[in-house]
Formats: sequence, structure tokens, C-alpha cells
Amino acid sequence: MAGFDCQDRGMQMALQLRHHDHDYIERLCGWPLYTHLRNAGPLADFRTAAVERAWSGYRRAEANSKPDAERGGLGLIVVQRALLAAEDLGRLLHAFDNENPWVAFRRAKIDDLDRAFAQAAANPEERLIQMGLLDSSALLDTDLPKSVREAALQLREITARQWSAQMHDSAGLWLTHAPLARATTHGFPVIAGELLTESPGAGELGEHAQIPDARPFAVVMISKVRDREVSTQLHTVHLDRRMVRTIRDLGRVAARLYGQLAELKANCLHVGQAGTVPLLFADRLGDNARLTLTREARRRSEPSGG
Amino acid sequence: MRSWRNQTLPARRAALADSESHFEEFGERGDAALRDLALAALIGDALQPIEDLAHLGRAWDEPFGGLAYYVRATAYSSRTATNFWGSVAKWDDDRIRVFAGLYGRNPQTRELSSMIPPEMETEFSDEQKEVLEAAEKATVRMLRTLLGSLGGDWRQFSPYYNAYKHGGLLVNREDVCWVDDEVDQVTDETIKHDPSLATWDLRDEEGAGRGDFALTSPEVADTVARAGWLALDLLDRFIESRSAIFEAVDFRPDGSVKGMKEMTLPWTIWLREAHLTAYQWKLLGRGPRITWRPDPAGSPS
Repeated sequence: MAGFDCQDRGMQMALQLRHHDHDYIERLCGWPLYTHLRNAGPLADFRTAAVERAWSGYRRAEANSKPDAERGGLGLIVVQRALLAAEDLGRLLHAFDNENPWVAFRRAKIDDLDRAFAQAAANPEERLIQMGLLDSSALLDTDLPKSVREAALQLREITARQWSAQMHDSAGLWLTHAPLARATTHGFPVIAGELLTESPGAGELGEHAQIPDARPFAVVMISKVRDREVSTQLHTVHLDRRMVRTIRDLGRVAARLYGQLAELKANCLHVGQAGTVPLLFADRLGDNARLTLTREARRRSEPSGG
Repeated sequence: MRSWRNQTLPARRAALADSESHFEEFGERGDAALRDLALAALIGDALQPIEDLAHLGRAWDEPFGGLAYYVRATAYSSRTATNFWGSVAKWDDDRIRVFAGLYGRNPQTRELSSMIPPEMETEFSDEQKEVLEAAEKATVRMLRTLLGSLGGDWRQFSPYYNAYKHGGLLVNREDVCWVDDEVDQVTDETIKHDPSLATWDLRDEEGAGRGDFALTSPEVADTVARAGWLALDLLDRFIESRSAIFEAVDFRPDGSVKGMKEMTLPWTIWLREAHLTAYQWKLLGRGPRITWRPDPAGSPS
């Protein structure tokens, strides 16, 4: 039981990092969000590990032949943790589509996240440019040597393809399972599937729920009250091994993409550029292109490299 | 209730145990950001059952009229938990009796009635009535203390829980330091403070933060983990207190009601051994037993 006094006391937070143009950060996203973006790597790693631990719990329950309802509950923890990772990404996308990204990041509602993911899935390229992936046309306009420019263009397209696919996957995860984000976090209005299928059944609830072939499964109940009328929506979620593994994989994708895009944005803000091409996927280039870009990156990182 | 027992409680327990052991393993070594996240995740998994208890408690106290009680718990409102835990200190004894499942409330009139059927009460001896009352009083006393404690934990830790689940909004220690309010300029000599955990506020326009400077990280972890396990224990008892009545119903395989089985009203479900004397326990045990007699009209009652 808590035995500690809790007192409110004012204190100031002081920034400990410098930037060559303080106002630039202030103007583009604000210092708090900038420091948050700089911390995105550990958050992405943590979310990934949390999903993985939940998945291990699910598999252990499966190996120990735990009842369907218990296994399903553990599957829901995998889903919850995967959706936390997706929510991080949704907030990031929503933030940089707004005039005040810091306020938008913190205040995003479910509808905002739905919209951000729907737009990202419809036009990932636009979102990636917004997050700091250099536009192809801007790359063509640079005065880089031809070989470097061509290699950078290739890498840029590979990166855009990879991230677009991951954006689609993450949007799919969120847009399919968003009701579970709220349900598993706020009061758990989720009925174990076996209670609907086994005797004596669940009456009216069982009649309206969609019963899948997959086992285990669960039904999420979300009620809305308007005037004096209560309407309840039922969402069936499959919690068999294949589905839970898929959700775990998508959660990892969302966490990784969040980490990479936040890091990209933080780097762009750090150097004061609208966009850049990260070397993340350089191993997918041919040997010549990769060497050209590696040499160019080394040259730029040297003090006189420009 | 069966879903809570078979699916939700094991899931919540597994999540809390996982976060607790992860914090024990990594909470005091390694990267500062990952340590903070381990603590924030533990707060998250400990506060979830506290929020669950608020949703269930409200549903049974303020059900939608004409609908099954649980339906209220499926209607989300961002204020449910904060309103519930914020009001706990002001609850009268009746509200605690309803929470405990010793009494029920008429959804239309909000009138209270004991879960012991009136016709049964007349059959109790004075001694039996006294022990039932002693158990009822002990339940109210104990729940007032425990719910008050959880209310304090909710107030203290829910801002960290919200920040963790909505964007992982932990303050980056590498970029920020904490100084007293009156400091104008930070120098090497300025006294800096080190919170056990600090998060950004989700609603504040400018982005104020909140940090805990009173406890160490292990103290926060210990406090919230114990609160989480307490909430899980209370959830377990809340569910058992409501399940008995449903489990007394004898269903046919097609779901229709065949009759009622003998049942025990779990009158002492919230109590520990020390709350009653050995004699009182012997007299009351788990609670009064109800044996259903056939209704002269022929319906199973």
C-alpha cells in the first residue's frame, strides 16, 4: 500500500543541448518535441521488446496447453503492446501534418490517428517527405557529382519503397485493430470467445457476435450513449497463433518505422535541412553505388568535408 | 464475469508480472532511457487493473436502466477512472456496500436492497444477524481504506501512465535537467534535481512536465506494483462476489434455465482472517447458504 506523501512543487526544466539556430527548432517543432524525437530509438527498442515478451508469454501458454480464454487474453496483451507502437507512429505522422506539431503530438485523438494512418497509406511518399526523406526532384537539383547523385537516387527509391510498405503495414494494423487499443487499456470490455460458443452460450450477445473458425478468439464490446439510447458495436478478433504472430510482426514493424522516421526528422532538424537520404538501406545497393555513397558520407563527415 | 475470471485477470496478471520482472532486471542498470521506460511500463501495467476496477465499480453502481449491468462498463469515457477514484474518499457506507456486492441498487430508483432475500432474513437468529452485521461493517471499513489507498495511487501515478501509453512521452534526461523554480541561469554550480521519472503533460499548451522527486525508482516501482496487485486482488473478489448468483443458475445445454442450485452468498469474500473472531468465522464461514424451494406457481425460483 502507498505510504508516501505526495506534494506538488514547481520546478523548471532546463535544456542541456545546443543548436546553431535556436529559433529554427522553435519554429519547426519546438524543443520539447525535438528532445523527444532524439529519444525515439530507445522507445522503439522498448516497444519492440515489450511486444516480443508478450509473444513469448502467448507461446508459453500454448506450449502448456492453457485454456483458450487464458491464451486469448495473453494474445490480447500482444495486440495491446503492438498497438502502443502503432500509436507512437500515428502521433508522429499526425504531429508533422499540423501547424503546432508538439501540441498535435500530445493531444492526438483516435480520429486523428485514424486519419493520419489513412492518409499515410493512401500517399506514403508525401508523408515520408514530410518526415524528412529528400524529394527525388530536390536530389536531382543538387550539384553532387553524377555518380553520387545516381547512387543517392537509387538509395532514396529503395528507402521510399521499404518505408512505404512498412507504412501500409502499420496503417493496416492500426485501422483494423484500433478498437482494441482503447478496449484493452480502458476497462477491458472483451468477452472470451469460448463463452459464446460453449454451453450455455451468451444469449443475445452470442446471437449478434460474429463467430469465426479461429480459436481462440474474443469479442470486443464498445457501447456509445447518445441521448438516452445505448448502441453497442461488437468487433471479433482472432487470437489464434497465426494472427497473434502477424500482429506481433506488424507491431515490430510499426515500432521500427517510428524509430527510424523520428530519428530522420531529428537529424534533419539538427543539420537544418528539409530532407536527407539515410544510409539505413545502403546494403541493398550494388557494390559500386554503396562504395560511392560510403565515400561521400565519409568525406562529408570530415571537418573540411562541407 | 466468467470472461473476466478466465481471460482478463490472467492477462492483466501476466502483463504486470512481466513488467515487474523486466524492471527488476533492467530498471537499475543500462541505458537511462530504457530504465525510465521500464518503470513507466510497470506503472502502466499496474494502473490498468486500477482503471478496470473503476469501470466495473461504476457499472454496478450506476448501470444503464433496463440493461445488463456490464453494458455500462463497455461505454468508454476518458473521465471514468479519474471521476471514480476522485470520489472514493467521499463515498458513504451504502456505496461501499454496493461496490462490495452485499447490496444492490435499483437502476431506476437507486434504492438499496440487501443481497440476502428478505424472506431469508426473518429466519436468522439474533446471533446470526449480529455476525452478518459484523462482517458487513468490517467489509465497509476495510474497503474504505483499500479503495482510498488506490485512489491516492491513481491520482499520483495516472499522469505517468497516460504519458507512457500515449506516445511514450517521457522526458529525455540527456537533453534536459531539472532546477529550482527561482533559478534564472543554469551553471555548473546550479543545484540540479534528479526525478525517479518525468513525463510531458498531454494537455498543457506549452508542454509542462511532471516528475517524481520524492521517491527513488525502486520505491516507485514497489509502490505501483503493490497497488497493481492489490487492484487485481480486489477485481478477483469483485468478480467472485457477483459470480455466485449466476453460478447458482442451472442451465440446460440450450441455454434455457432448468432451475437453481444451492448457493452460498459470498458475504465474507472481502475479509481476511483477522477481521472476524474464530467463533464468527465458524458461524458465518463464506456466507449464508441459500437453498431454493420450488415456487408453488411452478416456476424455478
